[in-house]
Amino acid sequence: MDVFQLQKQFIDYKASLYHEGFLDKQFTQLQELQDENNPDFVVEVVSLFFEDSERLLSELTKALEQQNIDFKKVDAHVHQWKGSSSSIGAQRVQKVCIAFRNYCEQQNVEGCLKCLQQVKHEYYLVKTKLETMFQLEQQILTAGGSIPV
Amino acid sequence: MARNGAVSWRSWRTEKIDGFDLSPSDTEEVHVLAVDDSHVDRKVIERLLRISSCKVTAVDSGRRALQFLGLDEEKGSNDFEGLKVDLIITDYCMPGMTGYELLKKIKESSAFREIPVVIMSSENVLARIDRCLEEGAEDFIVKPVKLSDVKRIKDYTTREFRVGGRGINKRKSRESCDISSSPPSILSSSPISSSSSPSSQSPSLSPSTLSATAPSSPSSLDSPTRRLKMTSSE
Repeated sequence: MDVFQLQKQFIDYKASLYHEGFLDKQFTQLQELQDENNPDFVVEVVSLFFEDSERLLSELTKALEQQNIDFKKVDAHVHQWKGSSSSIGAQRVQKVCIAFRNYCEQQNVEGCLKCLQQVKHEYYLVKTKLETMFQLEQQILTAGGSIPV
Repeated sequence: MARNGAVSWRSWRTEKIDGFDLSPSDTEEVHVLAVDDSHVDRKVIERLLRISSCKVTAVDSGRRALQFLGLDEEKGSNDFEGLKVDLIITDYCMPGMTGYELLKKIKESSAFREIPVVIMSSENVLARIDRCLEEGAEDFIVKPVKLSDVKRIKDYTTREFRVGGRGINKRKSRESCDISSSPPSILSSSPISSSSSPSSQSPSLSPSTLSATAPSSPSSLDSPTRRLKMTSSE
């Protein structure tokens, strides 16, 4: 595939992520903060998000496995996840976190377990999508092209 | 960033710290202390501030912020850890010490109460915003923080702003638009009393009207509840 085709593929892919609600305008904001002096800013922030998310997923799974669930603790973790997903524009993850927090408030175990599965699902989805997008960027650069804004 | 009348401005800045010798380059850049327990958010706020030509020190807790300022009780003396801080921006929800508690400690300190403090929160809770503003916060930013937010709060560090008094209320909620672009609206007669229901429509004055008032004393807000009512919220 030549540079032009790679670029087109990238543009279409990125557009679909916004269209399908995986990313929102906060992600655009992050990209605007990247420049030639900080060319890896977005990848770095997203990597931090991935690290954070793995940790939170593990904590949440553990917390919801307990005999007596500490809903305050669960809520605290979800609140953090809601925050970080919002900060990078991972809209679908953020939305599940909002629903998740409501179940925590109601101390609804079923609801919480359902949301845990949902947030896990959405997280891995957006992770795959972002990694694919970063790979497309790399392919363009390797082919000697520049990444379209 | 060039500043006119640099000499007099610099001496105003340096006279606050005894024996602390600030080189010209140190006084040019605004130094912001950013406090947030989220690693992701710290990275983002750091970048937003740096791109806005600010020096940044980012810490992960209120406790560390106080340590940096030299206010930590356990450390004893008020030694200055680093550069003079021109602005503090802190998350509200943090384990241990909340941003609100940090705000209170800063405003209680004679050495640091003058430093403008901005609160960030992912939750647009009116009671929370009110509480922070009444405690002396300059502004309240709803996360996620954007470049336009940072550009706005940077104004709080300018001498012109501080001498001219606090001026307009810059409280921001997700729905409200930027204050400078909102036209003044005068409420004719409303059955809703202004002392209740904060979400009701309230009169808002144009920035030029408010800045014409006499400068208020730096450490106290001019009728915080009146200021709060001046927000135009949709």
